[in-house]
Amino acid sequence: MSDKQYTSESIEHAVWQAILALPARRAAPALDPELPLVEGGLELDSVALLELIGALEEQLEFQFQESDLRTSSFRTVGSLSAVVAARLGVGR
Amino acid sequence: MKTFPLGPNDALLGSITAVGAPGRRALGALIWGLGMSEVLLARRLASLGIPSIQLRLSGDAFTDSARRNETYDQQGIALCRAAMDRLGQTQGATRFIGLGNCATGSLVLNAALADERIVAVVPTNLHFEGLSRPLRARLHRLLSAGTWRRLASGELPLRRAAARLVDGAVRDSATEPSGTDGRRGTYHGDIWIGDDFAQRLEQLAARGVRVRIICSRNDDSRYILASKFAAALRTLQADGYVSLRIIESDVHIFSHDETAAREVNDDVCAWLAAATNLGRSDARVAAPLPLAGVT
Repeated sequence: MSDKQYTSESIEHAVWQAILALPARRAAPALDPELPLVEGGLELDSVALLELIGALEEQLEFQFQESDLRTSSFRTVGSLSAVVAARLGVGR
Repeated sequence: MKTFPLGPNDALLGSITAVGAPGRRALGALIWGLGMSEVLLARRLASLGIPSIQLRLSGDAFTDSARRNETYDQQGIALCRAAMDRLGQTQGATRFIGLGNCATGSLVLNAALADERIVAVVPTNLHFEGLSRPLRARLHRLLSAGTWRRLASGELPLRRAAARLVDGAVRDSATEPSGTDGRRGTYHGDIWIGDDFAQRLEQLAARGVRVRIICSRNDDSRYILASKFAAALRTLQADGYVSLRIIESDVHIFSHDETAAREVNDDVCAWLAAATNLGRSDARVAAPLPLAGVT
């Protein structure tokens, strides 16, 4: 795991950065943590989610565990940020 | 984890889950699907020392279900070969496990017949072609909540539902390999598995290929296996070449059911660990093959 110091805000910022860098992104979204990643929101497909996982792991130098990779983790930007924060040991 | 185009005319999107630095590893996995359940499976296999390549068709050939199945049928084995080549180049794998659901389950089985690098296959909810759905399967489907909903909404006329029950609906299961689209097609090539299924399994067994068949409890493929191939399966099972696992789920595509997908992944990893003696050797160097100890 990374020894860098993160805050919940910096993690959410990193999640947004990773989303905005996705090649399949449809349009610049409003920065709302409740914005769904899939249906009714960003409409990310499985390839985009896979690339998002890879980008976050690379950028934040950690690895998602099996228990993190659930549908509920990828419901919204906020839920994904919370999972990443928990994995990096950052309290919200 | 990045995706990249590969295969003839970049027909595929692939993603590799590596195991350490490139080097010689005997065993690699060819996994059809880029969804979360397949990502989880790839990571679990990596923890067993098995690198994998995940695959999905790209562009219209993926989004249009008719084109998707035509592509599988006409180019599927060539695409599997391209993926194995890539995993071989990047991770050193020389032998492969093929995993697929529905049409791609049938595809990996046929690919194993065509390419001796495939030493084990795990088809889930196999797609059969040209076989009538057994009465039990038709009854189950007729009595399912989904059928009643469709009848109530007028989407499924009562006359058609009754006809399906009575006449065997020869093409019903065989022509809906995606499980999500009612459009009809007929497949004669790389995804074709029909009444010669037992002979195909016997050919694989003769080569020492291990096959783990996984079905949802009420999937058409389970009813077809039970009604048409039970005797052959029993023999092949007794010889240790074929084994069958039933998952308590009603979904046809396992990645649509998170719980079922995890159960499938647990089963695949446990089966592979037993079959390849992964617990007793360094799988990063060489998983001993032919596989042994399959139950």
